[in-house]
Amino acid sequence: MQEPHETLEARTRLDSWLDRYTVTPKADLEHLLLNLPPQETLARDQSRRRWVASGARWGGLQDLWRPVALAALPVLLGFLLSSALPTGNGDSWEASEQWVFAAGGEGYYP
Amino acid sequence: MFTEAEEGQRVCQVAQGDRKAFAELAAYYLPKLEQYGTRLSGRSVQGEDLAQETLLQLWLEAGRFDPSRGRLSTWLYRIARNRFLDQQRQGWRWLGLESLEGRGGIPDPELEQLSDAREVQQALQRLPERQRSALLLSYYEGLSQKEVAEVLGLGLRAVESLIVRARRALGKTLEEEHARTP
Repeated sequence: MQEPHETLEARTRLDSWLDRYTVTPKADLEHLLLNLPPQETLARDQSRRRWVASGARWGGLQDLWRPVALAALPVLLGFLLSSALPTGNGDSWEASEQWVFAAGGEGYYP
Repeated sequence: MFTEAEEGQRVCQVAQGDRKAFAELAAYYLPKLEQYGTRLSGRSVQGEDLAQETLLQLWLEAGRFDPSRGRLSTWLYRIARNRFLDQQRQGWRWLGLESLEGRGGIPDPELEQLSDAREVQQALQRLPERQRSALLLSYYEGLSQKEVAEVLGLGLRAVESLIVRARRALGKTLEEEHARTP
């Protein structure tokens, strides 16, 4: 491979430096072979991981009820108030009348 | 050195729990992976660990190897590199570089070579990881640029560029280092 901008001299010098960085492998093959785990280990770990992950997903869904309930609370309160207290702007003028009397007024008949 | 067919056959045997086939592959790949890991991390302990972990993954997940997607060597180097990146995230980087002069009574010519080796080791560690990996895999491990591209998950052009930049940066650093210390 001849890269641009790399002279032959520079290339040879760099290669000779790189060749001086030798690494003598020390890892023990026998140790590795003697300590191989059973291959079923992985399958077991993966199924456990899947189980944990599905548990986490269900747990996450269960945790959702709090924010959903909080968000729904004002809507629910609004609905309850609107149904308990007549606004007077609806179709039922009688309801409006009751409201005015209940508030201690003299009543108003259209 | 195995042919592609021999490798594929052995990997199939390993997937079925054949320890002898695994031992043959491990005897060939353990030193290669250790050398790559040691140069990549700058530490022989980490290189040893990366090699062992990579081969352990071969033992446990040989069934996932797909020969149509590349050679076993590229699959193993990719596993080793990913493990290295994981270890970096987990804090191995804070351990620093290993001293290469750990041995006593070194004769003079060897000491000179060690000094050069240390300079190369330090200069390599200053390269961005992708440049370092590309250079190590192509120069020391003898992978083709196509195979390096497979290991790094990059295009051929990107790998060419990474190697050129790595060599340029490394040459510059080592030239400067030698100019400072005649």
